[in-house]
Amino acid sequence: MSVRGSRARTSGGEAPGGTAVAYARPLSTRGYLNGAAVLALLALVLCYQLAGATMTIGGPPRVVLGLVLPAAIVGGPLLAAYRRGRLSEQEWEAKRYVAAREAAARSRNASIASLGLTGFVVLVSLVGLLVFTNDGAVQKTFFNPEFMAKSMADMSRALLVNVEIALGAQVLAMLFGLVLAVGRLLPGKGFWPVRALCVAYIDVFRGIPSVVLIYLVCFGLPITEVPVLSEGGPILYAVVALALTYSAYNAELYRSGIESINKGQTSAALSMGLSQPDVLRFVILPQMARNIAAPMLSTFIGLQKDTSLVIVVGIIDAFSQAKIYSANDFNLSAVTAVCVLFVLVTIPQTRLVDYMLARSSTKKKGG
Amino acid sequence: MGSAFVELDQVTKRYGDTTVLDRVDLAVDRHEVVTLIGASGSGKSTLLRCVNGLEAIQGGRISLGGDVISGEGVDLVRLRRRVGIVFQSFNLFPHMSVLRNCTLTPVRAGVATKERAEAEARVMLERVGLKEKVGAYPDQLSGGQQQRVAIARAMLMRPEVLLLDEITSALDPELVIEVLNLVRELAEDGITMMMTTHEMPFAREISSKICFLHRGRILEQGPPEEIFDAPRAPELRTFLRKIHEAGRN
Repeated sequence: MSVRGSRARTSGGEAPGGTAVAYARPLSTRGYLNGAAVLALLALVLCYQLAGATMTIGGPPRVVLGLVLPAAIVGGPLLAAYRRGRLSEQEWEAKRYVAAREAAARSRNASIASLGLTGFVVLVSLVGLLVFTNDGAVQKTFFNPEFMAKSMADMSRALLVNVEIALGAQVLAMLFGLVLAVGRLLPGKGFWPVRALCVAYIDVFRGIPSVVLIYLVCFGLPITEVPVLSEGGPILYAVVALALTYSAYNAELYRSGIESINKGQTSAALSMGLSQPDVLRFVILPQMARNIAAPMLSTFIGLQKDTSLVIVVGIIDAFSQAKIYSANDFNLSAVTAVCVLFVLVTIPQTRLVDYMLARSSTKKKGG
Repeated sequence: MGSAFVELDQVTKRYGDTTVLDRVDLAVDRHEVVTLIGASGSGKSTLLRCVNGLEAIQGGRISLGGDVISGEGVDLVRLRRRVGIVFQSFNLFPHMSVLRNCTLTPVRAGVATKERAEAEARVMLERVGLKEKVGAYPDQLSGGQQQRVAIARAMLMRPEVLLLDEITSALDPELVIEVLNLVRELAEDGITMMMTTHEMPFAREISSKICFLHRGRILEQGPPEEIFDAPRAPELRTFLRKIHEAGRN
């Protein structure tokens, strides 16, 4: 439907039923519907292939699982889109322009829903094809259920080491990071050495790869034989090494969180006669905490994953446990299982932070 | 000179090479309302911020009730408890309820116990017409309501001087009146105030003295009738004509 042609129609005075509003043109549904249909066909082909790859038997089960089932899933919205498109055309013919445009808009929505659904099916079947291709080589190498199950118990126990290191390092990194951030933001000429020191620390420790720092601290400190410093265990050293790196990250996070708060807040708090520490404690930090909760969790998850680096100093964490299994079995399924463990640990944290942020915003709005 | 309650003596404020206040002399008596007028950037807001100690001054002297309140040796926290300030942008603490906004400083400053501060805050909030908003959070309030909370919050420290920095400039026109009414009541109660505003009729009504600032200097000061009806400085005449023309549009 060309725009020029439809303009002509409007100016031709075909305004419906004497209403003042003249619609320029019918909403076209073809483009959406055709796109959705093409992708749906592709999805069917892929599903049929996947069904063939995963099943040794052919015939009816393959047709049912590979064609009928996906067609039923994908077809519903597509059919609705087509029906509403037809309805729209009929309404337009009958000069019910508003109804025609409404039907067309609903047809578009159905097409978009169909696109989303087929996109999902296409993606899943592509991944499935990759896993089961070459006679299931990928599946056997990475997803062998037997090897995964066998290693799970030992790895879950070893994961406690990762959890321990992550928690310890996070507590230290949050505290020390806050000290660094506040130190860096101290006002006044006299504090320049403090500021310079904080900046230098952040620059240096943000730049050193965590794995190198773990290596240096865990192997280096015991050799120095300095009293106290060289008497810790390997896990404690790993905690310290990671805390050194992540306090630098956190310091920058805190700083951006503090700087994002309107200067007027500080002015107002100071102007009433609150002391500087009180301003920080009651006005700045609570607002900052909200601002940085989500990015802080990202950094914390980064830290949790970096705990697997302790493999370089011989600590048996979940990953090194998996490595032992995979070397014995000559199969990587145990390592895949470790990935699953790490993901399972992080997902609840993300949901928890989302929940806390949502709750604090409804509280603020008095909900 | 020498007997006024708030006194600015040759006050000079510079940001780098830019002189924002240039040897300003100003005297405010107890129970007096002094309004600073002038174009944007003339130094009005900076002057108020200097009196509150939010900005340091590079020359001259500010005193309050006989005590010098400018310079290095001043206990800024104590000074600020004697001088309240309300800003154009309200600056309420968004993460605290209205009540807590009002009680935080009195409690932390040791002026009142928590119970007493809350009781006083309730009385003050009732007075500014926000009795039912005690538990609300700032983003649930209109601009005018937020500004009234901000005034209540400043007043609860029982300041000896209240500074009002363009407190109606961020408000929708229909909300301006409720804030101005409150300021009028405070003036009638004899609160010493220094303010900047663009509401000329209001300034004329409640001020005992108007000061015209131009590029960091006080070019003319006097009672409202004199300033508005018989301005002498050509800059002041230009300024008033512009305001007048803007008001007609």
